[in-house]
Amino acid sequence: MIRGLVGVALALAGLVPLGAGVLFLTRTPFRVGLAVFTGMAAAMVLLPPLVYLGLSPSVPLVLALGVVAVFAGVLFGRPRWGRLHVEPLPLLVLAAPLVLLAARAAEKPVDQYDAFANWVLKAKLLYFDRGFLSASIAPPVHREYPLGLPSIEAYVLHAVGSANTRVLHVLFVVFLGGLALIAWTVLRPHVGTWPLTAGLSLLLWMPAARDQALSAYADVPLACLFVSAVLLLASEQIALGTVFAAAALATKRDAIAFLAVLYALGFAALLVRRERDRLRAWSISALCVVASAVPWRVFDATHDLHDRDIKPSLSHADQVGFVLGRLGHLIVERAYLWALPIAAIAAVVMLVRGRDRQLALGALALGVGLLAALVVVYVSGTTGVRYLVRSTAERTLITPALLAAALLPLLATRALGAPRPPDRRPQRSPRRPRRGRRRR
Amino acid sequence: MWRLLVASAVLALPVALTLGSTVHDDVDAIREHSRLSAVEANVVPPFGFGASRNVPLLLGIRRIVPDDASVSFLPRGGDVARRIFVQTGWIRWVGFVIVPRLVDAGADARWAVLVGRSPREAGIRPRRAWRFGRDWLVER
Repeated sequence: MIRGLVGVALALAGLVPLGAGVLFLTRTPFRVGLAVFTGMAAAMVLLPPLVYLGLSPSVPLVLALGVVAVFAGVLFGRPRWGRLHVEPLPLLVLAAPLVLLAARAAEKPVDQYDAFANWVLKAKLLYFDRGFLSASIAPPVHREYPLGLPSIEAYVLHAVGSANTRVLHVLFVVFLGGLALIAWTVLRPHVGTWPLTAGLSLLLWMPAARDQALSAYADVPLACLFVSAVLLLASEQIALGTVFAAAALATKRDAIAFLAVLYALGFAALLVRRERDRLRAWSISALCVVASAVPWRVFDATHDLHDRDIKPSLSHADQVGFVLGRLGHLIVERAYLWALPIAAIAAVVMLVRGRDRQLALGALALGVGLLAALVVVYVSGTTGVRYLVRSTAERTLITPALLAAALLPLLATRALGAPRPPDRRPQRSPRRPRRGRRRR
Repeated sequence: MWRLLVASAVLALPVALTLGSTVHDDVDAIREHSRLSAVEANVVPPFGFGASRNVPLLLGIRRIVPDDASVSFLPRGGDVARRIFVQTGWIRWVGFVIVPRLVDAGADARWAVLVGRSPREAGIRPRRAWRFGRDWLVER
């Protein structure tokens, strides 16, 4: 186990150059944790096309991508170093659920159906350089799915040095930690230390997220990448948000519906607020995300790999009530720590009290939009709507639930009218800069 | 200040209500995972899989069949039965356990598992054969 954990740590360290390069390119201040999570996202976007070309997702390949990214970042981006500002007690509080989950992950066997029939099986096959596209090969199932997650898992197995699929579960804890890190970075200027710590504790202690993360399915990675993209795009870090949106799309097909909702709402908000100057950035972002999926779609088309379980139609529209009922039942289950209802109540309070109405409307619209997207996808199922909902709804709901949990600190403090934290950025004086001066 | 405290309390309440059972579940799972041997964790299937379940066969394939080989599975009932059999959950578990060897959906791989029958019953004259319970692994 120790060797496996060292391998996972080395794999994460090997992602730092790639993440750093992407941070430089997107003009985001470099921080080690952020570089690791960004490196994971970038690797999930970049590795699958190289796998399609016949390259193995090996350690040298990821390091080479990192070298190229750093050079590109230095030449075309803007290397900046973020200030290291650690708040020890919140760090300890937020590290506790992750350390416990990592301990649970370190020796967990692969024991979930889709993990051994699909996700981890593909990772093992990629690790051993065994092709699995030929129809003459029995498993894995769903060869039409994107390869972002199996590719990065295979890379981690290369770093571990064996097909140790037990220790591989630790990677899924890193996704949750990465989301918490992004949420902290984006929300800290707007939310006080303790509400933010409490809110992110809710995210990290959510039983559904913890159990599903260790199922080795793609739902929690998708949720973490998608929610990170939402937070970054909303905080106007469009370029970095685009990387995470593309990574979400490289993880699982559900991201198509979620990203369609996100970008549609983003464009609608910009048009309503008449912020036409930001439309260009969002348009380029959307184009980049679509372009990132082209290799996957072309590969599927040329290899006769088709999506057979979802076919958009209204023939099952009569099942909408059943789908809504099932989702509604899950939303109030304790496994999700009531994140969605609490977030919805907070947003409604904000609307009623006239506090930050745009934020409240945006959060409500995105939450409702994601749930509506799930309903549309479910009623378009070809394998029987009820079977599909019963077997997957608790997993697909994790994306809206984690989004609600990540937004909760902001929504709850705004709903209660809590004061914003003082801006800790040094104020720049046009005449004579003074060190240590704070804007109040 | 009180608003910050109330916001923190509202957010911490769901965690406080569930923390005990979450930690308990995690600790139980850690204990359970640490007790598993390598074979129990990596070869023994997590589900029953009925009569198909054959752990000695999996260990035999991992020991005998070369890494770069493929294995066909030949149940009674000809092509139709084989096509159904290779889509079962058991075969998906087999595929996961025997990687880097592949499960061949066809009938013609050099290595084959005769499901629930002997080489003589299957009308096969193998170069070598190994029996694992009711199944036989053969090299043709």
